[in-house]
Amino acid sequence: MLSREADSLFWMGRYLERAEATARIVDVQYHAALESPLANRDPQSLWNSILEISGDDLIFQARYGDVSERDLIQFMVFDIDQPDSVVSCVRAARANAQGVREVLSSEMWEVVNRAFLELLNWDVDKMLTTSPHQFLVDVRNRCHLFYGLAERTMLIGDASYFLKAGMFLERADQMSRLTDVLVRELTGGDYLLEEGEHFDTHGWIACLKSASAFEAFRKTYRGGITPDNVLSFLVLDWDYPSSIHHAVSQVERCLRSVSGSAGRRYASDAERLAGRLHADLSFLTIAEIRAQGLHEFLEGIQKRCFDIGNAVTDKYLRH
Amino acid sequence: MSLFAAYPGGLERGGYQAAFDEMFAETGTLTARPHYHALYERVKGLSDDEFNRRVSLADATLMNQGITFTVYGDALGVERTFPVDLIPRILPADEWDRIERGLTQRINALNLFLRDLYSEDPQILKDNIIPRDLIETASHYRRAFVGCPAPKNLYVHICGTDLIRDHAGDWCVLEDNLRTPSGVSYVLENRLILTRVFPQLFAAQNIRPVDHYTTALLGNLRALSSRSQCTVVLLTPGVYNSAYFEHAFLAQQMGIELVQGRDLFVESDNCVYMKTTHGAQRVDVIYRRIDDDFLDPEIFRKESSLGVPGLMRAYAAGNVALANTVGTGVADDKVVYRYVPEIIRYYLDQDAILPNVPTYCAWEEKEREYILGNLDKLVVKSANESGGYGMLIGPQATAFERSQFADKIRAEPRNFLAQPVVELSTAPCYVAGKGIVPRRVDLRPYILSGPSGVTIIPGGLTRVALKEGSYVVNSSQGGGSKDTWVLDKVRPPMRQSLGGMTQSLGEGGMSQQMGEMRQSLGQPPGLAAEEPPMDAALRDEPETKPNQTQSQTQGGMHS
Repeated sequence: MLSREADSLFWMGRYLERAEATARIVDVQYHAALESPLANRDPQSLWNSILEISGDDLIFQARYGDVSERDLIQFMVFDIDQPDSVVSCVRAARANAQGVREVLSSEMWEVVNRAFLELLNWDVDKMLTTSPHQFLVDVRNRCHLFYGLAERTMLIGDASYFLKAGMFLERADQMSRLTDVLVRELTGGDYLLEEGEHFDTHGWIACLKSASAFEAFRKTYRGGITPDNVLSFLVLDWDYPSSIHHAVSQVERCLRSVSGSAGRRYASDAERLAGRLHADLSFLTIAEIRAQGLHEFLEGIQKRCFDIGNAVTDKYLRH
Repeated sequence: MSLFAAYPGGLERGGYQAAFDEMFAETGTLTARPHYHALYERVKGLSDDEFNRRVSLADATLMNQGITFTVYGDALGVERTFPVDLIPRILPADEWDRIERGLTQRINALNLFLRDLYSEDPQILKDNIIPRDLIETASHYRRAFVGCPAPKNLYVHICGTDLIRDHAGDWCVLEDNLRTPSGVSYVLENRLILTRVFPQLFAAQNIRPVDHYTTALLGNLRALSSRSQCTVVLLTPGVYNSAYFEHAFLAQQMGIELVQGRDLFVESDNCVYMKTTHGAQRVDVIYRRIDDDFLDPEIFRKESSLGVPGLMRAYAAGNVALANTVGTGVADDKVVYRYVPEIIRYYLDQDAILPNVPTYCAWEEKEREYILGNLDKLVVKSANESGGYGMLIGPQATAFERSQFADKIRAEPRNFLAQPVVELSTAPCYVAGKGIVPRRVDLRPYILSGPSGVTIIPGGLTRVALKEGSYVVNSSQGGGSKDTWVLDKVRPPMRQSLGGMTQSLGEGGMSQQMGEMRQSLGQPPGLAAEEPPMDAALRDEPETKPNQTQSQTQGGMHS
C-alpha cells in the first residue's frame, strides 16, 4: 500500500488509542477522587498523576498553575491547542482518516467522523453538569466501535496491520506510563512495593480500573491484590489484552505480517526491536524487574517503544 | 394545507411564469404531468413537519458520512453539506432514450474530433469546418501533444454534459465538460439518501438504477492498459479540494488507490511508480482529478506541487494512460462549443439529436456587433471559465456592469460568446418556512466512453438554483441538487405485492413493504451481463523496484 496511507493508518491507530486511554484515565481517576477514603490522598495528587501519565504536566503548569478539576478536564479532554487532549487526538485521527478514506470501510470512516463532530457539541462545563462518566464512556465506546468495525469490515492486509501496529504500540507506551505514575503514587514516591497496614487497596483497585484491568485481574489472581500481582498482570501477563507484553507481541505480529517474515528471521530493524522487547517481556520475572528498579524498567519500555516507532517509520512510512 | 399551496405564488415571485415546469402541466390548477402523478399524490399529503424531519435526517446523514466541503479559514475545519432537495426529478423513459442517443452521438463525435485534432495534420482544419486560428488560440489546446496518440484512441473517458430545457420543454446542450467533470458521487449518494429518508416515495415507481457507474468506470479504466495485471489509481489534489469527498468515494467504490502527486514519481525508464510500503509499484492508468496545468511541473505550471514531475514524459512514451487525456479542454472551449453540431455532421454524417443553445461569438465581427447591441438580452460567458464565474446575465445586470463587460469583449473578442437567456425549466423544491416552491434546474448526465462503447447512467445530476429567481445552479454559487429518476418502460408488478401487504399488516407488514422497495430498486436482469468481473485480478504484483526516493521525515497528519 501507499507509504503515505500506511503512515496515516499507523497514526490513526495511535491517536485513537491515545484518546481512549486519556478518556479512561480521566474517568477512573476523576471518580476515584470522589470516593477516596484516605485523607492523605487529596484530589490534587490524583489530578497531578493524570497529567504525569500524559507527560504534559509542565505544559499544564505553565498555562494554568495550580490544578483544579475544571482546568484539568478542559486541558485533558477539550483543549484543542493541547495535542494530547481527547479532542485533539480524535481530530488528528479524523484528519488522517480523511486522507485514507478509500482504504477504510465507510462504516469506519463514519464512526471517526461522528466521534469528532459529536465532540464539537461539548465543552467542559456541559460535561461537568451532565454526566462526566457517561460522556467519557461514550468517547471510549466510539474508539472501541472503530476497532470493532476494523475487525469486521476492513480487508485483512497491510492497511489493517499498520492500523493495529499503531494501536498496540500506543497501548504499550500508555500502559507503561500509567503503571509508572500510579505505582509511584501508591508507594509514596519510592516504588517500594510493600504490603502492610498502609496498603491502599482502594488505590490499587483504581490503578487496575484505569487500565480496564480490574475484572480480568480478579479472574486471574484469585489470591488477592498485591503489588507484585498487579504489576505482573499489567506488565507481563500473557492473556490480558492490554498488558504491555501482549501489546508488544501484537506489534511484532503486525510487522511480521506486513513483511511475511517468520520464525527466527526478522526483515527489518523494526521487527528486530519489537521482537527483542517481546522476548524480554516473555521471559522476565517481577523479581528481576524490581532488581533493576521499576521506574527505570518502565522508562526503558517507553524508550524502546519510541525506537520501534521510528524504525517502522524509517522502513515503511516515509513518503 | 397542502405543501404545494405556495407553488403558484412562488412562480410569480421568482419570475418563473415563462419557464417550463417539470412537474405540472398546468401550474395554475397544479395538474401534475402523468409521470409525476404518483409522486405528487404522495408528497401532497405530507405535513410540513413530516417533510422537515426528513430534511434534518438527510442533512445529518450527509454530515456523518462526511459528504461535505470544508469552509476555508475555520480553525476547527468546520464543514458544510451541499444541500440535497428531497423531491426527486423524474424523466419518462422515452424522453431519456432520446437524451441518451443524443449524448452518445455527441461524445463519439467529440472523441473523433480530438483524435483528428491531435493528429499531425487535422483533417477538419484542412476542410475549413472550424477556423484553424480558433483552435490554436484555445487556452486548453496542447500543441505539445500533437502526434501523440491516446491509448485506444480515446481522449474523453468521462464527460459531464450540461443539459437544459427551454420554455417549450425542449432539451438543448448548454455546455460539455471534457476535462475533470465532478458531481457524479452526488448522483449515487442522493439516491442512497433518498431511499433511506424517504423510502415511501419509491413505492409504485419503477426507477432505473444508477449504482453500476463505478463498475463501468473501472472496467473502462482498466481497458486503457494493455497489461493484464494493471494498476489503476485516482489522482487527487488532496483533502482540501472541494471535490475530495468524491475522489475518495470513487476510489473506494472502485477499490483503487487514491493517490496524491507526492505519492507518485517517474523513473528514468519513463514509467510511473507509486511509493508503497513494499517499495515502488508501477502505475498503469491514472484517473486524474487535477487539471492539465497542474499535472506536471516539468512542462506545465512550474510552481505546482500537486502533480508529478515527469508524468508527461511517461505519458508521451505510452507508459501510462490518463483519463481524461491531456488537452481535451480544447473541445469544451465555449467558442468551439458552437461548432459541435458541425463536428457531429462532419465525423458522423448525422444531424445533432440534441441541439445547442444559439451562440454568438464575439470574435466574428457581425456577431460581436449583435452582442454589444443586445447585452441586456443576452448571457455573456468567457470562453474558458467554469463554475458560473466570469459571466454576465444581461437582463439582471446593471447598466454599469454591462458597459464594463462591453469593454472586456472589445478588448478580447476571442474569449467571449453570448447566448440568449434560456428560461431554464422549474421543478418543485422544498424550502424551509415556505413549503414547496419552484426553482430552476438543469441536468448533468455523466457519460462514460470506453473501448467497448458508451455507458450513460440513467439520469444524472439535477442541479438546482436554490436562490429565488436565480439561473445559477453551480454548487460554488449556492446551488443544490436532486435525485434524478429515469422511469423504466416496464411498470412494476405492484398489484401483487400490494395485495400481499394488505394481507398481513401485522408484524410482517413492515418487512414486506421493504421487500417491495427492494424489488423496485433492483437491477433489471439484463444489466448484470454488462459488468466486468471484479476478482482477484484487481491486485497487482510489484514489478521492478527502483530505489524509492525518500524526502520527508514524517508525513502523517500529527495534530
